[in-house]
Amino acid sequence: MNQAEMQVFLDVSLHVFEKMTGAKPILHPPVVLLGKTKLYDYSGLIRISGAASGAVCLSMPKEMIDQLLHAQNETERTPALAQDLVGEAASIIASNTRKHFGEHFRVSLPETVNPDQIALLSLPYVRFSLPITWQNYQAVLLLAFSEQGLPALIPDGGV
Amino acid sequence: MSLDRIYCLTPQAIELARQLRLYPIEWRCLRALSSSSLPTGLELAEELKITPSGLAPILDKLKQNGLIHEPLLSWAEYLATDKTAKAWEITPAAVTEPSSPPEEAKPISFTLGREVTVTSVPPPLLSLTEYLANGKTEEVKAISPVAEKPTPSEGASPITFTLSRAVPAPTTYFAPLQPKNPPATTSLPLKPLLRFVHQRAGEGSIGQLAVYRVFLLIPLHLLEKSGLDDIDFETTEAVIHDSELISAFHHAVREVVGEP
Repeated sequence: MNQAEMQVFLDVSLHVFEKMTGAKPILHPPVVLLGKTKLYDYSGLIRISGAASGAVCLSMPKEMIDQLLHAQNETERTPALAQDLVGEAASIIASNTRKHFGEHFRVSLPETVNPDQIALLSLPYVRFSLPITWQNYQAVLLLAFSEQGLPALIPDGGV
Repeated sequence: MSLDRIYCLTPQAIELARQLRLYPIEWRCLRALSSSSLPTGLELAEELKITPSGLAPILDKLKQNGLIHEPLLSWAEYLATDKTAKAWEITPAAVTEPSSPPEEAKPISFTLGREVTVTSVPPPLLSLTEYLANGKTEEVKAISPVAEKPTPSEGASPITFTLSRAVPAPTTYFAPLQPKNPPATTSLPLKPLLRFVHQRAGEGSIGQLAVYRVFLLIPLHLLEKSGLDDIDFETTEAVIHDSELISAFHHAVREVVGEP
C-alpha cells in the first residue's frame, strides 16, 4: 500500500472524528510504534485485506466518550454505549473506504475493542500512531499495515 | 549517483560557480571537493557530517550543473587516492601507455566581482559571493582568498581566490578505478533521514506516511533485533549502527521517494 492509499484511510478517519466531535481535531506529530500497541479504553477497528493487509483503529479514553455521549444528550454511561459509539465510528470509516477503494481492498465489518481485549489484539509490528486532541482529551488514530501482506491480524495474544 | 565513486571539480567549475546560486551546504560540498584529496562520496558525506542519502541529491545537482564530475586519473593520481593500493594489484595490461608523473598542482586564480549588498537574512540560495560574505571565517579561509584589498562595504570590488590544488585534467591511461576499501558507513542518525523523506514526499500527512512506509519496507527481523523503540518523527535521537539495517533503510528510502 503506498502513502497515497494510506492517506485515504487517514483522511476518512479524521473526517469521521470531526463529524463525531463537531470540531476539527488537533493533530500532533505521529509516532512509528514498534512492538507494543498503545490504545485507549475503547477502540473501533476495521481490518483490511486484499492488495495489502492491515487495520485502522480509532481509540479514545472513557472520559472522552462520556463527553461525546453527553453532547448527544445521552444520559447513561455504560460500557455497551461506549462500544456502540466507537463501533459506529469504525462502521462509517469502513463504509467510506469501501466506497473509495471498491474491490482493491477488502474492508472488514467494524469491530470494537475494549480494554480487556487489547492484549489479545494482534497487529502488524510497525504501526503509525497519530495522536489527536479534542478539547482536553487525547485520542489516537492508528494505522497498522503490513507491506509483506502477511496475515498478521489473527488474534494470538501478540503485541 | 554512486557514493563510492570519486568526484572532483570540473575544469569549468570556477567559471560556472560564479553564475550560480546554491544552498550553503552545496557550497560546502564544492569547497570540500576542491581540497587536495580526492574523496569518495561516502568520505565526503562523513566530512560534511551529513548522511550519504542526504549528500546524493547535492552531488547530483552539482554534477547536473557541470560543477563536478568523476575524473579519469593517471596512475600516480590514483595511487594518491588509495592508501591501500599497491602497484602489483593492477596488471600491466590495464595500463595502455606509460604514465607520466602528475603535473604539479598549480594554483588557479579567478576574480569575482561583488554583486550584491549582503542582507541580514541570507536568502536560501546563495551566490558564491554571498556565501563567502555570509559564511564563517573557516569557510572563507578554505578557499584561501588572497590579495584582497581593503574596500568599503559599498560598491563592487574584485576578489581573487586561489584553489589549493589544480583540477586534474582528464587522462586516458586506464578506466576509472574504485578505491579498494571504501569506508563503510557505520552509523545513521534517523532524524535527518526521516526529515529527508518527509521533505521529498511532501509536507503534511503524505510526508509522514512516506516515513511510515519506509519503516514498513525494512525487514522485520532487522527492526526487531535493532532494539529500536518507538520513533517520534520530530524528537527521535535514534542512531542506527547495524550496517545491514542501514543498508535496508537506504534501500527503503530509494523505494519510497525514488533515487535521491
